[in-house]
Amino acid sequence: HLKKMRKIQLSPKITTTSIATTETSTLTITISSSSTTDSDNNNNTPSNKNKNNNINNNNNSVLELLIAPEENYPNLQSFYQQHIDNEQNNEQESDRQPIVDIINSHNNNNYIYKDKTEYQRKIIQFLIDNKLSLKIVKIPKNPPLTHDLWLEWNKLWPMTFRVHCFSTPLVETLEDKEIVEMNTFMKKAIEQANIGKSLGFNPVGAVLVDPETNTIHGAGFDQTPGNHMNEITNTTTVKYHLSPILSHCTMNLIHQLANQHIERCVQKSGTAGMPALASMQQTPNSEDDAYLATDLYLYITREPCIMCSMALVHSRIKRVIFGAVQPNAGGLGGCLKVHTQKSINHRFQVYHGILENQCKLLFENKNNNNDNK
Amino acid sequence: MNNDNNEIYFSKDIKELVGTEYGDIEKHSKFMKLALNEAKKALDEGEVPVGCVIVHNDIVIAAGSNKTNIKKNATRHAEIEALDSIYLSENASKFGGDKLLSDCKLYVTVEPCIMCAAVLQLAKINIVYFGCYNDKFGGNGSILPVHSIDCFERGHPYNCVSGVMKDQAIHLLQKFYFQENKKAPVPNKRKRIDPDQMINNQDNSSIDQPIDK
Repeated sequence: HLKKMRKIQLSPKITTTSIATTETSTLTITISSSSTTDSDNNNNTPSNKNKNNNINNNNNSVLELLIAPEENYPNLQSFYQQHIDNEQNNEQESDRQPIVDIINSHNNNNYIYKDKTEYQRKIIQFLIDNKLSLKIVKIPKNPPLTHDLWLEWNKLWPMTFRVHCFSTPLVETLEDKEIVEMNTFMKKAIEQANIGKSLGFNPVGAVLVDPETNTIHGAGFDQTPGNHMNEITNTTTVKYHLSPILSHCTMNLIHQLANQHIERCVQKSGTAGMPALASMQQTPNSEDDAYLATDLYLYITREPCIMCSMALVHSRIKRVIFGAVQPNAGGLGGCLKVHTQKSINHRFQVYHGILENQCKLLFENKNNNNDNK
Repeated sequence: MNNDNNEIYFSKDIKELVGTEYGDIEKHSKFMKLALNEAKKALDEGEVPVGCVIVHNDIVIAAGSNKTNIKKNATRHAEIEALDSIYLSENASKFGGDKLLSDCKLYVTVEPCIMCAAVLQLAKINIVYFGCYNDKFGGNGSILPVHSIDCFERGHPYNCVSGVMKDQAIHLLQKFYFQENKKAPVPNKRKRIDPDQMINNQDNSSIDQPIDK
């Protein structure tokens, strides 16, 4: 039995993807002693060396842990397969010869792993000498995104869970009072969505809220012309401030906010009417020049698309709360995570799932209406 | 939504283009000069100097420059200004709506940001030519390859070509940040060189000539 426990870590490739796929996992080969029953000792984090030492001091168990992508060790894989076969056949005596074959085999595209075959041979030799068994354990490749996942994954692989304060904090961390507030404002957003729906637009609505005073700074709905547009509502009755294809809910709101701001500036400066742009130019560095949505929360029924998400980054929004996820086009987790990009100079908090069912229902009703007509 | 998923949307450098595509380089630099002129307008207005033109059958149908400060709206980028000038004009109904843009080329001095890359998808633009890369917000490969993601129900991915007269685009940006530096209360540790002097010291290649004044 070995007295010293060693841990070999060979590039576990813990890669985080921007797309929220939490269930992908990399295969690892865990070599553990079959004689000792302490299977719990497998739980060694790569980052927690002290813990390893403690276990080492307390137990004299033999343990060698190899953390690596499975495909890097084809020989070990075949050794493992061999081991299982042998166990099934109970042919303990005849297993020597095949294993040597495995060790010496250099075919099966092994030239890629040339530098590792020597290493693998040593491992297998070590296994044979110590009469150890091989076990393959799947461990998560990506860090856990939610608390539930962490609890589940932690059983097989102790890991730290860090809530990314600017990505998707948990609704549970909020106080009840705050959730009640969120619900009231989300209801306002749903009202807006219903107005949009009655005009034949996409049923998406939003409100901009100043969290300090709890006042609504703007409300709007999606205005993109769609296939489901009613014949009554043609483009002439709708006054567009933006290109119709870009008149998403968020873009409308940002535009609305800018217009309000310009109006306020015009009132202050005393010049009436249209020369707003000119007065803006004269005082480009006034204190009102700050980014507009800096202290505001956005409540929106459906996740903003990539364009809108980036527009929110540009507008320096403080927090976004959305109801339903937009799986393919969403920019806040649905398709991409624009708000957590490292190179981007502004990040904001995102909450979702508030009144999710009601937000989803908006879309279902739309389809029903179309069917009726 | 019946797009060919097998289609691969590229992002190439202008120098990677071959054959007839490369033969059009004179035309590309001609339109890019117009975009650079738009960018210069923005610089005069105290905006970040980015400009673009939209070209349909070799005719410029729209132009735009960055107007984020003037309009107090951080989303008023050159591309959106140009699109709005098409769709909000009185003649908007004359154009064939979505079909128009799918025959159009866009020339922009700096790589479209992530937002604008998505905007151009929604506009169903045919191809985008841009000058220098945008290391902070670039949506055509620098940060996220938004141009090639097929994610919009009513959008369409597009090809893009980079590096068209990029030195001039960078020159304008440097000019802007050089100006801004003069106003800064605390002087920077790094000494910045006047880009005008820099360009005079450099040997200019045949394509990358300084902007005509």
